Formats: sequence, structure tokens, C-alpha cells
Amino acid sequence: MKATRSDFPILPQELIAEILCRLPVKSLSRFKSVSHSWCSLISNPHFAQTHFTQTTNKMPDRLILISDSHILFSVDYSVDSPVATEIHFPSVEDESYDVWAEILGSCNGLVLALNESDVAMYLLNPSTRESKKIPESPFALNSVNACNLCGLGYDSMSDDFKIVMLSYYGGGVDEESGATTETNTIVSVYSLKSYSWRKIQGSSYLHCAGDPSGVYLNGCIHWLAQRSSDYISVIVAFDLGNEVFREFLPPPFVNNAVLPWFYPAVLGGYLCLPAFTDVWVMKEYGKKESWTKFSICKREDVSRIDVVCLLEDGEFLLSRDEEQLVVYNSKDETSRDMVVCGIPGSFTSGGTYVESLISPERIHGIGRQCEACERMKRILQVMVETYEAGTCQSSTNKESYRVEPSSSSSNIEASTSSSSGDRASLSICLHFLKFIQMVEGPFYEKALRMFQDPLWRKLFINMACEKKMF
Amino acid sequence: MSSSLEKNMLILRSSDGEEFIVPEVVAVMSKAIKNMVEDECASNTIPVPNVDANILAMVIEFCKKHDESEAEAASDLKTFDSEFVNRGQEALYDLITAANFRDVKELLDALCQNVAEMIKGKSVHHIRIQFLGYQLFEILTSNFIWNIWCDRDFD
Repeated sequence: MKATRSDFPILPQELIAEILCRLPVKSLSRFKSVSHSWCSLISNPHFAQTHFTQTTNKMPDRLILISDSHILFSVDYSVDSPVATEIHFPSVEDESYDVWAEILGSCNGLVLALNESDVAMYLLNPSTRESKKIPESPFALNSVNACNLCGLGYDSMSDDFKIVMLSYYGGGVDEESGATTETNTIVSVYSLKSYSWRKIQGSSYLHCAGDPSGVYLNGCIHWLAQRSSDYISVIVAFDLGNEVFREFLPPPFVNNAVLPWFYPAVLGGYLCLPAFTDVWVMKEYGKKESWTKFSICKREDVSRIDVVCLLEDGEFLLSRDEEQLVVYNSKDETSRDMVVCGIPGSFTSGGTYVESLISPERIHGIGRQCEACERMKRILQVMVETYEAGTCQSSTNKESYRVEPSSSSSNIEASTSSSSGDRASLSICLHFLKFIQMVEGPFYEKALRMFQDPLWRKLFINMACEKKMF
Repeated sequence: MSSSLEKNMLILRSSDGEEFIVPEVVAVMSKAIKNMVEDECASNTIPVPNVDANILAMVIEFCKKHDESEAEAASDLKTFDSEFVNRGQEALYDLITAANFRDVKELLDALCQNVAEMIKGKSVHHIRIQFLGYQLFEILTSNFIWNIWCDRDFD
């Protein structure tokens, strides 16, 4: 049976890109297998960036949870009946185990997480299940009383993701001032584009570790700290663009005594400071007058409340005793339990992330797909060379199958489609050639000549199957 | 010759020769026409090749609505948009190419969003036949290759 050609004409590539960049990641992952050109479009880092800007603010955030067995779960809480899905990262398994201790940061769909088994940082994309191990910072301090704080952020100026690490000798926290006794803080920055750490000018603030991770908002990573000159508590913002620290004042209640207990958070796009049963929200970024307090009425039998995220209309998503998600309305002080299918019995909230195609691997360099293509190209090269050497010796009289490299391969397909039942037919080999990008010119001709021989075709297809490419 | 024409009105001529009189503010929602008007290379009749009368009327309807309702509630415009783009595949295709060709950003946005909604839950097979107009042969071979090449499934 022959499929009828659809009446719907084929759209130009630019319009297909326009349409595809409005689709959710799940659909796009599936549509990678529609055709070669769709796959390379969807895998393209530039497309990932366009897709992110196009869908940002339109796609709901997802919640990330760490179960008590240290497995990551993702929850889409915006739908009527939320479901918690386990997220596994196949490539982490090569080096370590897929178990996670802590989420250290989240930015543009990427999540920085601490692996439980090898105590290394990994950059993850929970939507595409891609992961990348981040090497240890050579500038980080390793002694027992050293503290390392880190944060993940995106620098739009250099179009680069950066991981910032602050290292200092804790020497214990001074009981009276709450300040760390050692003032020397080393700041190192990891750039995802250059795959390397570099040391920059140190921080003059006294950092203290309430929580080891900084939060990303508006191109800056935020921590709570103290000025070293007058010991006043401030929120420091590390600007990823020009790599300097800025500061602004926290809500009035924050003083040195309570400082180590708190850490800033980003809830619903606002910089927030959850404090016991209050949540301070900075309504206007950078304006200390805009700190607004929301109070949460806690039931007496509840021992622990964590604010997970800010919903619309003054509603908060809370986690109660690390075992139940609760939607709390701060206006009428009502709360209702959120029923999530498949949620682990006990969990820690790791904050939220947005869905994106942005790959921790493919920021700049070549991705896994390209790597596979490269590998296959090398195999092909070796085969062609061997074949050439063989034919030179026997100097066959076979008429060369000459095809202009520029001519569309559809002609060839047409002429060979009769043999499409054969597993190693010429047309299938040609489809492979289309797949392995950058095969062109004389090399393409040589490959075609080699594919004339059914034995070599069979060998090539077998090799491709055996290597499995990915 | 322009005497019969009101001020700030332009005539758009479709590919099949039909003429539409539209206010300039509406016409310049197409960037391509805007550039022509700004460069003063357009007489008051602007040919719109590749777009037939049927489609041009739809595009003008869309632009007029968007021009009028700038002050109106955004939700009203959204309902209009979603109703406007709810058409058959053929008209949708013609509209998309017209919007792309004449560079009408709002229309292109609305149309692409609509197509995206349409294909969001579709299977790969469906997309290939409906969207790319693939033939059976191509589907068979590319399936074969993909079975080898893809061992990852995100679903």
C-alpha cells in the first residue's frame, strides 16, 4: 500500500522552526524522530535558546523534589491532578549513581545538583534527562573547617552559564556577632563555555552558610552576608555579567543574630526571604522599600513548614513536615492539601525549574548526536580507504557510479528504490550518508563507489547497527 | 488619481487583481508594506503578490481587529485570535505563508501558536504524513534508521 501524499504543502524550514519553538519539551523530544532535519533543528543550541525565550513565562514551573531515598522527582503542580514523575539521568550512571543529596541552584531549565555517591556537582536538565559532571574547583578550600557556597546563573552578556563558588575558612561562627572569624573569601567561577574554573577577585563580605546555595534572579546570584566593615546584614548579589558584588538591605527584622538561619529564595519570580512562618517578598527588585510580609498561620500539630513556591493571588505552595504539599491562601488563611499522584512518602523540596531544551553539554561544543556522527564518519573514512586500496590493486573495470555531489540524492533513491526490501540496500546506505553530516565532495563520491559493492554495504550497515551510535 | 482616495488610505492589490482599500495604520502592520511606505517606493496601489484575494481579506480582517482593539481588553483579543486561526489546513497554510511573506508578526504568532497546539499531542507517524507529506518509502527507511540511531525515549 502506498501512502497518499498529503494535500498540506510542505512549509519552509524557517516556519517549521517558528512553530516548533512553541511546543513543550516533551513533544519536541518525540518529534526529534520525525526527520533528520527536524532532529538537527531541535538539537541545535540556538534553537534551544529561541525556544526558551519563546516559551518563557508561558510554560508553568515544575517542582523538583528529592525523595528520602535520594531520587529526584518532578511535579507539574499547575494541572488539576498533579503527578510526581521520577527523573533518572542515564549518563550519570556511567560515572556514579543516580542519587542526589541536594539541589544547589536552578536557572533557565538547568539544575545544579550535588550527587550523593561521588560528592560531585552535576548540571542537569530534568526535562531532557541530560547531565554533565562539573569538575571540582581547583580554588575551592578542602580543609575540615572550610565552607563552600555555590550558585548557578546565566550571563546574557557572554551567553554563558556560570557556576560561582565562594570558599572561606569558617573557623566556626562567632556566637555573638554571627560573623565568620576568617575574612578571606575566595571566589571562583566556572564557565560552561570554556569548561574551566577561574579565580576572580575575592569577596569582601563575611559569608555565612545558612544554606550552601545562592539563588539566581535577574542575572545575579544572591546570598545573605555581612558587610565586613560594620557587620550589617545585607543581601549580596553577584552580578554574573561584570563579576562584581552588589548589595541591598534585607527586611528590617534581619539582624546578625538570626542571619545564619535564613537564606534567600526565588519564589514566583520574586526575591524572597522565608523566615519561620513569615515570607518576605521583594515586590520590586532591588528596592528595599518594597519588602512585603506574608504570614502563614501554622497549625499547632505541624512541626515544620517550608515555602516551596509562590502561586498566583497570594497563594503559597508549602511543604508540611516534608511529607505533604499544601496550597495556602494568605488572604483568607485557608489551606488545602494538594493531592499528588506518585509522590514519595517523605521528601525535601529542591525548588522549581522551568522546562527547556537547553543542554548542559551542548552549550557551545558539539553534542552527543554530533559525536556519534563524527564517530561514524571516522569509521566510514577507514572503510573507504580500505576499499580504495583494495580496488587500486585489482584495478576493476567496473563503471564508476558517478554522481555530482551537489545533485539531490532523491534521484539516486528513485533509481534504487526497487531494492528497498534489502536490509543493506543502496538507498538505506545513502540515508545513512545523509545522517552523517559533513559528508561531501570527493569523499561522498568515494563512499558512493564503495556502496556499489553489496558486501561493503552489508559491512557498513552491520557496523552501524553494532555501534548503536549513541 | 489619488483625489478619490481619502487621506491615509492605501490600496492593496491581491495576486488575482482584486483591490482592497485599507487605512494606512492597518496596512503598515505588515512590516514589508511598512518598509515600502517608508521608503516611498509605493504609489498608493501596493501589489501584494503571492497572496490571493481570499487570504488577503482574512489578513486585513485580522489587522483591522488588532488595530481597533489596542485599547480593548487583551482577553477579548485572545478569543478573537483563537477563533480567527481556527481554520482548515489549507487556509492555515496560505495564511502562514502570507503572514511570513508580508511580515505580519502578530498574525504569524497567533497562527504558529495554533499549529503548535494542533500538533502538540500528535504521533511522529502522524506528523510525517500530515505535516511533512512524507511518502511511504521515506517513512520506512527513516524508521529503520531511527530504530538503530535512537535508543533513547523520553516518554
